[in-house]
Amino acid sequence: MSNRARYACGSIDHALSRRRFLGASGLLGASGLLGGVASLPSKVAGAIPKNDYRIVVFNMHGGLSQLESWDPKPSTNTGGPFRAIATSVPGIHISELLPKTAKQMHRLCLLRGVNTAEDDHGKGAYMMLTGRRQTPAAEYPQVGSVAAKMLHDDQTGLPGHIIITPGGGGGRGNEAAYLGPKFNSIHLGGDKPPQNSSKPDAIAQEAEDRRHLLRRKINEQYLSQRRSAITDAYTHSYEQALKLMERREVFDVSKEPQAAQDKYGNSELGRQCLVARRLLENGVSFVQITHSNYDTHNDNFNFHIEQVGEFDLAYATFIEDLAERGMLEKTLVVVLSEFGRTPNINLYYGRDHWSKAWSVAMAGAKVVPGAAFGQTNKEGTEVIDGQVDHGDIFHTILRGVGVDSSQSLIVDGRELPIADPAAEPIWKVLV
Amino acid sequence: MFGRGLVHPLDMRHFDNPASNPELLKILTDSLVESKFDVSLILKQIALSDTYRRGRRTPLETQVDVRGVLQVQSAEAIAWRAQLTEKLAVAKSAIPAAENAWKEKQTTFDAAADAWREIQKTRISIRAELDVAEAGFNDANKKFIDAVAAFDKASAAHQAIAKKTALLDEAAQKLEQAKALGDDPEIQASIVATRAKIEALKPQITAAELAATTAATARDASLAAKEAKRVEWKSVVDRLTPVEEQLQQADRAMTLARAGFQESRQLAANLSQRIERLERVAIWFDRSADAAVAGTQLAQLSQQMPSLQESLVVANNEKIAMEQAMLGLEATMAETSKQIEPMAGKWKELVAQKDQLVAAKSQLTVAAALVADAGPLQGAIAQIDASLATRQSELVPLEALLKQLQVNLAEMQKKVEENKLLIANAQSKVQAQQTALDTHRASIQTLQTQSDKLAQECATQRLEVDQHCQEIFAIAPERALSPEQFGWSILTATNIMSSYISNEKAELDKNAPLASDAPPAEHYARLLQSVRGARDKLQGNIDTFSNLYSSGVGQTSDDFFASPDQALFVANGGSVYGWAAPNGNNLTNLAIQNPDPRSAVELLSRGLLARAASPSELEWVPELIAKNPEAKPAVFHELVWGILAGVEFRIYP
Repeated sequence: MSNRARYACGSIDHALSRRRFLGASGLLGASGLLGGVASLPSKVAGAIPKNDYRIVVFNMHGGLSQLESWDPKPSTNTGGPFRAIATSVPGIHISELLPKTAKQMHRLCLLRGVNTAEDDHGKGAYMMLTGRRQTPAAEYPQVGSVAAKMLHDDQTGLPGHIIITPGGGGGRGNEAAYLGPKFNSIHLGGDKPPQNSSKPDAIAQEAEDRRHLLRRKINEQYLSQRRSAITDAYTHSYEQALKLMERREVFDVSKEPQAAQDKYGNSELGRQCLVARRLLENGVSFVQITHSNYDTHNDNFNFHIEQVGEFDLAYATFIEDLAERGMLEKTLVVVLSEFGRTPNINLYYGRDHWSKAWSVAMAGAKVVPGAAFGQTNKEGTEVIDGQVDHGDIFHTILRGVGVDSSQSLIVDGRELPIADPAAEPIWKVLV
Repeated sequence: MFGRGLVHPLDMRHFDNPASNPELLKILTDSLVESKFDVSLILKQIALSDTYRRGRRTPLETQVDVRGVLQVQSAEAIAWRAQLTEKLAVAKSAIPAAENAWKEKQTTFDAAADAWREIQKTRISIRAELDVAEAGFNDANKKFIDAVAAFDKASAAHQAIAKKTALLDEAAQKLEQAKALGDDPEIQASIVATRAKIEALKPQITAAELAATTAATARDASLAAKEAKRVEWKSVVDRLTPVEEQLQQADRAMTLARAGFQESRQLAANLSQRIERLERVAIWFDRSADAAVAGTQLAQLSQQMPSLQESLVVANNEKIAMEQAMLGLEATMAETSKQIEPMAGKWKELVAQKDQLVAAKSQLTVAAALVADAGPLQGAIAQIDASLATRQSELVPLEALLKQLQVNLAEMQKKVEENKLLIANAQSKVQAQQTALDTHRASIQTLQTQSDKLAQECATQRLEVDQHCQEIFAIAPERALSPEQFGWSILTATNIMSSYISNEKAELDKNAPLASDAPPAEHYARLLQSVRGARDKLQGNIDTFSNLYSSGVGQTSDDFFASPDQALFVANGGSVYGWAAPNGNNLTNLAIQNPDPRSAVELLSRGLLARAASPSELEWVPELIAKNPEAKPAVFHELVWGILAGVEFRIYP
């Protein structure tokens, strides 16, 4: 890390963890409560039939350059120094920084006409993960919470919504919004199992069992007098924790054969991918992997050689691994950022924030494989075909895993559409 | 003091975030100003308020178990049920009155509406008249204006001719004057011509004069007509004005009546809703009581079970003993039969020999009677007799024995028969016991199913009933401690905070000892400084809580999060379990040192949860310790941890 270029824009977003950032914008969110979205307790009407689809999101934190990845414009003023290379799908070319991914192109679906019109890190991330623009009037659940609610089976003993970030930790944001505390994420720091998930050696098994028995007996006393969504969520969290301790080995990458570990590359991202695969295999419905930090206001090209190279190996291996295991049919893998980067190359050989014409990649589940949807003009400054925004992508992600994105949930008597009713799934990329 | 501000969140005071109870805020503000900002007074007022002193439990909640089933049908529970019935009766008896009131208000409203409609009708007809009158006036006005114009025109025409005549007259006079200066035939001719012209104009003047006069008359007439119309119009307006006023009054009356009607209807609806809630609570309560009764019966039946099982075993044992005796008897019989067999054989043989001997003797006797010398025959007879006697002597005891044995056998046979009956009896007794047991088991099963079903129903209705109870009995709503409150509460409850404070103070005292005669204010300042120091040192721990339980340090958030990573921190993070460990004078240690486990439990309950220990807690904790006395320190350590990790510590009231 130390020899890496200093490139980021130095905005406060990088100093805080992303989630803390969302928490900070939660200043607005708090007043959102006035809008009537009660944070507690949530009674969501009706049982929603679960399916065994899963979602993985690669959050390319800071803003991946579409020109150095999915939508190269070689030999133009804006294209930068890299070439475009052929892929396993004739006619689709991607940046030469993604040679391994190019071989997986027949499994991918590129959205090259993304226009979200929001150049702020926090707001852009909020939009991409919730499918809506941030508003003081209401808080909306993130895709991970929706997936946990719609897809996750509690019987697995594992949480349904997991976010892996390099540092882990940080404060929590209310990702689940009105879905209720149960669907907020569990944070993993890099490739490590959840903190405190093993029993301290100092506590003997007998004492361990007894103290939890005592805790339950104490709770019984209170619960006999009062029970509510809060008390249930609180007591449930302890039982969930115990189940999670039992299944701790799922988080342990070292249980994988050395060959598998090598295949994913000796990078934290590679290990994150491997953890993600293990979690998916064990029934976790949503995993968000974070690759940080693409905010290359300076020295964009050297940085992308380094960072995209690391991504290429881990991501291509991940896609291939899922495909070989037959998991890709049921797993939707989305690569997104908060926005793309400017076609214009600035004084410092950097690219700045750019949300007018950028790309998102999807693969697996019900998304059409081997396709590129949408097009930007010759220099990549404008979308000329197949323009989509965050709302459309959110709908598409849900449809991609067999969830009817037009449905509403009844929360405290209010009907809340799970995705923005003003947007629509991109039907052309769905099978 | 309530865990929630009148303005919430506290740091968001603006027009978009009004106080939940503006009137109360105003009263409190005014009284604070009036008392010259006496904060302790306002705190006292709040603390003495009915709202502050409200309990956190609904009356029913104190009596039920986790499933929502009444633990026992206590007198208190029965009293609560009676209270429910009473409330229900009160609410129900209020219904007719409310409905009457509602209907009455409706009648009032209808009457007001009718009155309004009547007035409106009058008003409409007058308005129509008004329209006619207004049109008439306008018409007359127009006519008047036309007449004025006609008069003006006629008058102008008359004036023009008069002016012309005057000019000619003047010319004629001038000509006369000129003629006087010197007679001129030309002038004379002009005079004549002018005079002729004047004469010619004369009839015209008369005509114009007449026209003007006629126009003036017409004008005056139309003015009069207009004024008449005006009067007419005014009279209609005069009639309309009071009607309009009446209408406005009627409108106000109707609005009032409507509001009253709606209010009373709302009251009746509220009452119905209250009744519905009360009924739901009552239904749940009855079901809960039924479940409790079923539970008690179940317990009784289950208690009877062992004695029934025991009787079955006893009966069965009896039966088995009899069967064994029977077997012994049968063995003896077989033995006897076995003994009888050879004896009977021998007896038969002896009898056969005897018969042969008797036959031989009778032949010999016959022969002896035929032969003269019967001597040798007699000898043979005697021999036979002797051997007969021998046989006889053997036969008699044998016979006796045999008979005896046969008697024995018969007796035994009889006994066997008797035994068989007895065994059959015992068998049926066993069967009866078995049936009784089965029936008992079945009734337990039925009761169990029934009780489970009731308990299930109670459990599912529980949340809803809690809601209703909160409304019916007006209890405080529950809230979770904020992450910071949670953290500091744990640190305080485990004495970590106080030991940090005393360490801080010791350090300060060591570095800058306070004079023994230092004023109390200085001591107080030192203490305050120690508290601040301790807080600074412990703040890092609180930050962990903020990050895990909320949006992070310094971020405002009202959201409640409950996720396994928090639980993992409390369970395995080391800090909380460590703080709960026995140390110095903390509650864990005091509990361990207390020789009476019951009072130790009471201490923990009061110290950590600010309530008395429940009877069941006073029972199971000491039981647990009694089972494993060496584990007492461990159990109390774990118990304290369990309380800190429990739902009651985090969620209040």
